[in-house]
Amino acid sequence: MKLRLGNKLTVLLCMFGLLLGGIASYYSLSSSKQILIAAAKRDLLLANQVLGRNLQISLENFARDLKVLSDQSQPVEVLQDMPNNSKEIEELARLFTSMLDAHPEYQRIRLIEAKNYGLERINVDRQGIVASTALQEKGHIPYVFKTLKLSPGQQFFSEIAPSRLDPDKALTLHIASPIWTNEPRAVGVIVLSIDVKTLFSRLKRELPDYYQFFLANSQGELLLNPEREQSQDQGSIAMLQAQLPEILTLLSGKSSSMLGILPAKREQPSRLAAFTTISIEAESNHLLLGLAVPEKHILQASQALDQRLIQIIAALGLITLILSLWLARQMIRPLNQIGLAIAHFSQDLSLQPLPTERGDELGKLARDIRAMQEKILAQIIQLNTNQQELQRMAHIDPLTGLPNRRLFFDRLEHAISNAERSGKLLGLLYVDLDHFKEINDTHGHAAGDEVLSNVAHLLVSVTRSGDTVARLGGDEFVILFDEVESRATLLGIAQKLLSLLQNRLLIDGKDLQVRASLGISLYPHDGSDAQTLLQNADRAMYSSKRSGRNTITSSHIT
Amino acid sequence: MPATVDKLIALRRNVLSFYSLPEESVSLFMQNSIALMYANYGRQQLKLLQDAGADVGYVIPQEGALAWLDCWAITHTTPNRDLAEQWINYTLEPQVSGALTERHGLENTLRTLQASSAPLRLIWLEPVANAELRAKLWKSILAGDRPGNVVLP
Repeated sequence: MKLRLGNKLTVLLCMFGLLLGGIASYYSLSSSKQILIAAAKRDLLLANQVLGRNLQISLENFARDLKVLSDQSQPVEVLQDMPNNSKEIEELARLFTSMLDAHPEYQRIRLIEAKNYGLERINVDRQGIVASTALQEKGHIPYVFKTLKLSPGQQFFSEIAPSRLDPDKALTLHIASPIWTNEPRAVGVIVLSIDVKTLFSRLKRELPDYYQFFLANSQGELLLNPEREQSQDQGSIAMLQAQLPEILTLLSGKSSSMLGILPAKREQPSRLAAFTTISIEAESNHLLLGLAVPEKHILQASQALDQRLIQIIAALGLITLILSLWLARQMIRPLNQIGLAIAHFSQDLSLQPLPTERGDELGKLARDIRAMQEKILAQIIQLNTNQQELQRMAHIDPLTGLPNRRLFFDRLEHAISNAERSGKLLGLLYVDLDHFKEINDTHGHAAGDEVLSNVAHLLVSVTRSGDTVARLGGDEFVILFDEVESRATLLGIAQKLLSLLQNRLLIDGKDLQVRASLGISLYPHDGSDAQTLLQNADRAMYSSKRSGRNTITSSHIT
Repeated sequence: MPATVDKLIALRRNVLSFYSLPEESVSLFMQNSIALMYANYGRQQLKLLQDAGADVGYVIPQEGALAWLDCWAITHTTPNRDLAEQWINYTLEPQVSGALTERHGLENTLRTLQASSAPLRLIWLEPVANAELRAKLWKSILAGDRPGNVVLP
């Protein structure tokens, strides 16, 4: 019982504590995870937008560089076939070379004329100036035939697509400006070719290396695909919408940026990805720029948080357990003490210590129980006193303070059974006052009572401590002598008593003569039971009365 | 051979542009007011153009047209011949063959071709004698090399 209640309380408190701790921890964990993910999403979108902005700025810079080139006087002079234009050609080639040197992503700069099927006039690439004999006709390529149709100030931006004939799959963006003279048609174009991979590896350097970098054209065809970097599979075209159907909202132009989850694949974990569209001036031509970060990377920070939380929960659990144990003990110990005290009290009325000094409900309970115990004890003492008084009143004659007839018979029977075993003799001396009625009548009942008291004293004075003097009623007394040597001894005592009774008594200022008739019986000679023994003493006393009173008669059964 | 090269260069100088994918041909056609286009992809390309809203017709010239068939072939050393056959059987099911016609405008083997009234002159493709050389030559033509610079075998 003690263990069960205590254990129950401990388990209950413990579970309650753990439940609260667990719920609080779970909520704080999940909310901090959400905060982390939201922050990562924000970071990703922001990084993507910054990247997009950088790309846009780069493109604007390219366009500006190209504009500077096309605004020079030399291209016109070269294209108009001015005499001695080799100087201009040299100057332009130098200008192109220095531009290529300044911009690592510039792959090639060319001056192409409109006539001669778009023959290149100057072609400078990263290897140097291409020999004039190796110059090619480019009139069938969009950056020539489309650019020639543009109005002054306009520029052409090509689609970025991997060349299907090029085994290296180089990605090239061609930006072209028309060259105008006074003629109604453009006389040529300047084409700036940009190595997209070099451009993006520069942009990428500003990003943390765990970011994956995607680039797709306006059809969703992946141009830069980090998933393909290691793999040798270059054959098929990867479409972004196949992995991320939501990208269609970007492709259709309904929104300019989005967040999504790229599903896990072989060798690739599940990733959080942000995509944004970058418009390239002409046509409906735009690029999709994407950044992806593995979800695992985002959750790394929360893993440290997880561990911390687990530690906190464990510590909380331990504290809860200790607290619950302590609390249960605090509750159970005084209860046990009270229970023990009650058990002892009901067993033997003993008072055991109670936790009465406590200020709480248990202390009050203990104090109430103590008060109840004290009240019960007081009542029991009262009861005992009353009982003793009743006992006394049942066995003692109130006037003389001597045992009454009932107690006398008890003592006599007791003495007989003792004597039966020891073989000793018992003596009874029956005393009846002579002419007591006349004393009462003459001097009043108060004097009579006084006489009876005095006689009682007198009778007691002739006995030993083991003997019993009793008042049987009225003026009749009897003395039980425990152990007498012989009838003669008893007679001697009786004689002594009789001689004492010859003295006068001074009662209420009156000089009274009180005498008595005495009868003797002896156990076992004059009877083996109390009744017979007393009858014989009584009979002997009557013989004394008949013989003239103030005398002694011994029972004649000898 | 030099005559062929001259012919190819003359062709290049005559056309607006070249394309390599059906979709590319459609965007070229739609953006550049083109009147005549060599439909290398045949009916498939016709369907794409019509879907894009172009008012176009498709004819096979009197001189004839190149023709080829796309086929499935199982290599002699295949480790899983059964799977290959299952795949071919699958592509021959009506809904797969039908998709070929519906989506791409191509004929399929389950339909009987409506015989044309005029006999068609089809020149069936033959294996290339030297694929590498052909690729090199065509690359040179496409790149815009002038007559003297085109690589000759």
